[in-house]
Amino acid sequence: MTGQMDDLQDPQGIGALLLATGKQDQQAFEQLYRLTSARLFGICKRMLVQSSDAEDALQEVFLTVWRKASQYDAERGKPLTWLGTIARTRCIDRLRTGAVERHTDPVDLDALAEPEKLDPVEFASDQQRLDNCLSNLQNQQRSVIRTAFFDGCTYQDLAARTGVPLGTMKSWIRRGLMSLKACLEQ
Amino acid sequence: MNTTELPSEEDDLLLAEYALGVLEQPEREALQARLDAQLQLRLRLEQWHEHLAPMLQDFPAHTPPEYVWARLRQSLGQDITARRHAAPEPTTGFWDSLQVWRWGTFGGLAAALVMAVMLVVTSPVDGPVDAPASMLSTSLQLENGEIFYTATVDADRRSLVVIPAADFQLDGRQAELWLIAGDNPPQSLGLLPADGAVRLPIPDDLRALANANSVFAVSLEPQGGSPTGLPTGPVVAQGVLADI
Repeated sequence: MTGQMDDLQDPQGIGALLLATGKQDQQAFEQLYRLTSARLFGICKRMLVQSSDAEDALQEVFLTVWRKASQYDAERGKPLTWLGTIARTRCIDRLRTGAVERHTDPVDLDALAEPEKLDPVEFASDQQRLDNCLSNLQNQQRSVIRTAFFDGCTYQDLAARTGVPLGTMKSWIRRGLMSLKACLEQ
Repeated sequence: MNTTELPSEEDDLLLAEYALGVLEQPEREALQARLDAQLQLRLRLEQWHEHLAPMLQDFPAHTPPEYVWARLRQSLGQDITARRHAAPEPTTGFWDSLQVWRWGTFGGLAAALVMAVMLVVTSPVDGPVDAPASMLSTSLQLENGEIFYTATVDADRRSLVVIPAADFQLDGRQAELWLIAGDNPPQSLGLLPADGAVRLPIPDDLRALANANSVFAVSLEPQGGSPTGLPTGPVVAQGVLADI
């Protein structure tokens, strides 16, 4: 797996491998691991600070995939979203319940670059749509939402890392999420 | 359970917070319990995951260490065994039992070697009574203990006979036999027909390697055999050579 991939469209046939895995096809599962483990490990490595935690999480992610692949519904979601969501959820489980190291480094809200405004005509992909909707948020809202997503932070973590009061942090994120909803579902 | 109405604004926000991951554990658990019970909440949560999913592409990819696959494969073996015990299935054929153990491209021969030295070698009971002491034999066993092939090396080490233990389908692939001695890379001894015994010559340069405690392994390869000279498909069976 290399670099940036606009592959939520699934040119590699990951959806088919996932469906076959749901029928307990072990070759399909092995192929699925080959194709997606680098992406999912990237998620685990970023969210969990320690490599050993990330490795444990990845193993758990693929065990979950093996056991739950039959629940994957191609009608309702893209395969990489389904897989990536399992990876994030498993990492968040570990961050909330396990003795794993979390991201605690300070977040400088002023240091974040302004988002690039996109031409609405070019909102071909979901990524561009989300980027556009995120770009409509205040810088602080956008940056804490992205930090929460990538680092697996709670409200409390974010408040501590930014020095912003907890109530303010909740309000930023909630308003940001509701703005995203309005923008994405308009 | 209410499956017809959309979630309230309050629940919708909670689902968004859950999808983003900012809730503390008690709140997460409370919502998880409701998610288990309410389909409508689960469907809406999926939409929130889809909304945020484009950000998943911003995680840099990172190739995991090889041993993660080996560990995963091991825990899956246990998972499959546990499930089989939990829900007994009708008796399956040889190929089905082979299917269960077709892991291995990743685990590779290092893992196969570890497995192999732990295997108990069962000598064929029908070996010739007056065989020279220096003949070697092994049962190539699947990881579940079933015998896949038996292999017997002649006393002069010039050839070996390999006999399939049962009829089986290889799903378009061919079984290839490998000799692994010490730290040397696997050496191909040839392709194994699925439907009968075969006598394979042992190349001169490998003759010295065919000793007690050398390992035979079988991998599943494309038609015509491994294109690389090393196993490329899953290693499905192995056995340790022993004097008979």
